[in-house]
Amino acid sequence: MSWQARSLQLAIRPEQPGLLGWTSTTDHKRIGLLTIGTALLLFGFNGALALMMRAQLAEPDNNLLHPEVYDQFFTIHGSGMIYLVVTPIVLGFGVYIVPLQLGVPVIAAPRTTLLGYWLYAFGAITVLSGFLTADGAASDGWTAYAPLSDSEYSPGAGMALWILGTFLSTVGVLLMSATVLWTILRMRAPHLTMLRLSVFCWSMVATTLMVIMAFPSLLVALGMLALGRLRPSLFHSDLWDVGYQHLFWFYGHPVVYVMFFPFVGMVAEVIATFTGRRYFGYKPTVVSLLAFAALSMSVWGHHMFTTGQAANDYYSLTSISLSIPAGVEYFGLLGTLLTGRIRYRTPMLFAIAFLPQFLIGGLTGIMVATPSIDEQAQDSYFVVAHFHYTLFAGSVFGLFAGLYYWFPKMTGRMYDERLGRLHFLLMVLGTNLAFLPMFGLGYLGMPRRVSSYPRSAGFAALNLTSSIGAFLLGLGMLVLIYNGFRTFFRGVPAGDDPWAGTTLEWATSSPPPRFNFDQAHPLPPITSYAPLLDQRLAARERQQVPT
Amino acid sequence: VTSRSALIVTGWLAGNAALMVLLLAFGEWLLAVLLYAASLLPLALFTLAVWRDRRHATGSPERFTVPPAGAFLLPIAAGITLAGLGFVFGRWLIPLGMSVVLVCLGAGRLVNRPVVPAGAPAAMTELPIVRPGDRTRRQLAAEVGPVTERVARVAVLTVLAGAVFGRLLHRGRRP
Repeated sequence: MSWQARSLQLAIRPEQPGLLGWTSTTDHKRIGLLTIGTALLLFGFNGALALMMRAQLAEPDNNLLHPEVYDQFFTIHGSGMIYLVVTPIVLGFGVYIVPLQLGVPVIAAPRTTLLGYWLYAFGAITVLSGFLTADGAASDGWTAYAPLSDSEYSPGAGMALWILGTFLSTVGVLLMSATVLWTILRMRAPHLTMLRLSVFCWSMVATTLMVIMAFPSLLVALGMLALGRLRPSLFHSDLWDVGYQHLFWFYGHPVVYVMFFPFVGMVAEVIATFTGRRYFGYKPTVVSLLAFAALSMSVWGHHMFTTGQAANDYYSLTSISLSIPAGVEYFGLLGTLLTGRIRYRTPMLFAIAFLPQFLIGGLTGIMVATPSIDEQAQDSYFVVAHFHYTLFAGSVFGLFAGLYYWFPKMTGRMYDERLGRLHFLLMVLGTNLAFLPMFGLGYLGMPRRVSSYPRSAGFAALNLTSSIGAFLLGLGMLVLIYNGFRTFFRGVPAGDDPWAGTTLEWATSSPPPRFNFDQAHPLPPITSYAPLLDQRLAARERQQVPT
Repeated sequence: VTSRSALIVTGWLAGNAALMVLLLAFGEWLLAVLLYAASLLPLALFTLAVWRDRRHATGSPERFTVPPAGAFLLPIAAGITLAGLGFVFGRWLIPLGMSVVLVCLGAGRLVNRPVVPAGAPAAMTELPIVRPGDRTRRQLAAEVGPVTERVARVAVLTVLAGAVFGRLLHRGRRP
């Protein structure tokens, strides 16, 4: 046997054991788990940075962190959460769940998907390696506005490493998005038409379309920054300065929805399952997801109202128009919730909390999309509160809903429900204690990105409350980690379909076999977007009709 | 034959093109409009690929194949990172990183041939997959009504939308 044939034979074994098996896998589930695991690790790291910042801000005139270190922490916290945690974890779930929900054994171009993961992982290492350099990590905020980020004002390797790492991880996410979208569009099980896709798959369609259109713009912007570091004089012209902002925000706003839509999809799946009914308003929700995604490509200029370099009327009009498809989606979620028989398990608790909390983030988003309000709120803690309600109180709660929901499928074990509820309680309390006071701080005029404030400013009580909330969040995360370890060692088998799910992933074993469905777990007939619910209803009808 | 999946991507592209034209009408900086236009390009290429695949695949039986393993992808990503680090720590890293990439690409081509998954049941890999999005025009017409009716509906809606946007534009235009 030739060495090529031998390697081929070795490579196609269903499950390769050990580290080599995981690092070279073409199994979409393993790639998905690698991505989710890496993103969760980075979530912990970036969360720890946030706790240190909150410790610094808990008291006025505090000297716990040097201002330069504080700048590095908020830069890596913000950019890390966006570039390295929430965006990749979205794709991680897409890579894992989408082929299962489509009833296919593989993802399109699995090697491209794996390359995407490795580029993301190396990108993350590169960004964080800035802390090991003499001048520290990047410290110019997640936007890295020029000329602040050029080599004249930000000397040292930290910023350059940030540019390179962000570039690599963005390319990785782009590759993963393209394969997920291709899988949905061109590889589906027989009879699984587009209008029989799950809501989560539709949310991934909208998400990946936005990634393919918006993310190349960030790559160009990062290329501009890299050139600017070689020749800082480039950013002496408005063309480059404002051009960079346009390029950046053309990516920077859609990425907010990239970090939101999949969680809407997850929450929709969770709510449909735990109310035991078909998702309400399926077609309007699908149309609204696509319309929302298209509109969201055209709102980037609302981040530039105060520059005076954007067509305010257009961006304000399109931004406020977003509330229409968002309203349709909320209507679908609430309609499903209100007409079903609710089971209050941990995923459902997170899904229910997602609804009002994200609403706060969304409504304050409409406020700051109005130029006259934005002029006042720009760079204040009001904006910090707004985007934390969007991304943490909204998206991260959606993430936990999805994580608890699919955890039994991914691991084959059931987590501890009491610990899950404790985690939920700490998260709700912590989130609202941490971020609600920030609206007040913004109203009082506290600017963002400051490492300290004088006692006379009157910010102390609200900042202390916010810091207490942040530490409650940290405690909640410890409960989650403990629950994970406990489940790993002492978790009971979950069974194939512990929730009575409605979509195809619940038709196979937990965890699924290498090629997702086998003789013991064949694909059920696909008659709608909730094929397992159809099966259960048909079985119930058969029982009721006397033979 | 037509394909709903290709139509969805095309429709989304067209929606963004319309928003871009509207941006132009609001008097935005030409470079920002050009940015919007350029951003449509990757999506347009993706859309073309979807249409092309639809034509090639229609009616043909599908066998899902899996590339054997991605053992070379980790060093390829490491090589790309190393080459990138050349821009930070010294240009000598660029050829080093690129040579790692080239060697791994070459080695990968030798052994990585897509195969029908060995552990998969025959039913899943040898099943002729009828692409669900691919359906005949007659089937589509039966679902959504005659073509002329659809065209008429789209035309009326376009005129109405144009009139509404025209009024908005008139109000929203900058002095």
